[in-house]
Amino acid sequence: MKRRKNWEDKIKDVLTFQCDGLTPSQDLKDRIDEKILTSQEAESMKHLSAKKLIIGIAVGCLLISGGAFAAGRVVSVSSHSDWRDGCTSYSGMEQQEKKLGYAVDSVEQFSNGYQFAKAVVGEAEGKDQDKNTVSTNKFMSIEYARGAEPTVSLYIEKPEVTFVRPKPAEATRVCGDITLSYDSGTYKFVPPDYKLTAEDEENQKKDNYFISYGSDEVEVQKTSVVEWTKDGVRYQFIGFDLNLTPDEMFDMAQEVMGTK
Amino acid sequence: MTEKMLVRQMKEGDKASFDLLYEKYKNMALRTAYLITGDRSYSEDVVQDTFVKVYLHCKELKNDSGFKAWMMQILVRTAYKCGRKKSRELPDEDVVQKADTGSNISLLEQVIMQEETEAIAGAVRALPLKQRTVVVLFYYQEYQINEIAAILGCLEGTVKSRLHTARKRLKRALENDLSVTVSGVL
Repeated sequence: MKRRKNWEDKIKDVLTFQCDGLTPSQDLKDRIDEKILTSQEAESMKHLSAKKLIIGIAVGCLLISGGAFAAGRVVSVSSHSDWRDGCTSYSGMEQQEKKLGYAVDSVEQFSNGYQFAKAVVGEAEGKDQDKNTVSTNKFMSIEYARGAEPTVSLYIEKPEVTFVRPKPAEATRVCGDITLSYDSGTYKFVPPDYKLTAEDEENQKKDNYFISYGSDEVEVQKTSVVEWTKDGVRYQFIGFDLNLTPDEMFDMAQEVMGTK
Repeated sequence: MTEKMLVRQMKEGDKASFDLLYEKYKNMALRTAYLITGDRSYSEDVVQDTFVKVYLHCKELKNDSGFKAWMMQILVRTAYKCGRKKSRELPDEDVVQKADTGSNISLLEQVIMQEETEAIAGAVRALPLKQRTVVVLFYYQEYQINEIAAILGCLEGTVKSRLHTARKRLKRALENDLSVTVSGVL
């Protein structure tokens, strides 16, 4: 290295002197962590193309409970997961199960062509009316894809609250001592500043019609959910605008259960 | 645990490894950001955005051994953006205050040192952002020209050119401000 001139050494000294002892404020790291978490939540939502997973959780709960969770206190559920922690190969499922804490039923490929795409373990938080977190629960979401068709998510959890079905399922299938239930609903995704129309308000009175704020544009989608519980683990097949009949979804559920 | 291992674990999603890397580099990052932006609160913003990007994009780092340079690349770019938004500068009083403290030298020497410090600090701060960045990386961080080029994503010739121009400006500014001999700069 070329030898520096005296005045150049002084530059180094002055620069060092200027910031000597300068240390980050106490809360900087907290702000960093918070921003990371927020970004991850936003990112996971984006990658999931769901609004759909987070809504999916609510769909499952709402379709079954009609909006009032039997535990009484939980009025909404939100979730976060980081797809960077997930797996995109079925061989990674074992690792995901370890994170979840228990083994789950799943398949790599369905006979109708849907294939494993990715899986992730996340955490769902149940909140009361004041938005306080009153329960947390780990879940696994497995996404299955078939060409360019809408994906199907298999949402798995051990529920901490009991879900009460306010109305009979639209369709059921009994497999041994397990009953599969099918429900459908309509979701209208709207921007945050969206003003409800009279029709919206009327639709909201229905058990299976939901308005969800937060999307860029107004979008109406039909949801389909097949739900069952096995060994204390609750499974929900959830999809939006699927080209699948209830029977086809029941068949897929049975493949997951290993009874078909 | 080596830095390379920490980086690898962070890339696998280990937040604790990220925390350790933050602890290791937080002061250096803040001081560099401060020298580039010239503003304490801005430099915290720069460090915040830098480490958030580091964690969220760590999988894009191909060479685990090159973490520091990669982080510096992010920091400098973030500081550039910040600098473009607003070019607030460190008040001179800050430098004066620091020059006053903790010395055993005579009052006259203190005054001379203070003037010199102010002159140099002021001259560096008056440099255009890109030249100032090169000066900070070269003199404060003591990076080589090729390393600075890698951090800034430009040619070595560009770095040399910026450094050359910055030196000329500094020399001129110091000659005007101080009666010190600044010779043989180039």
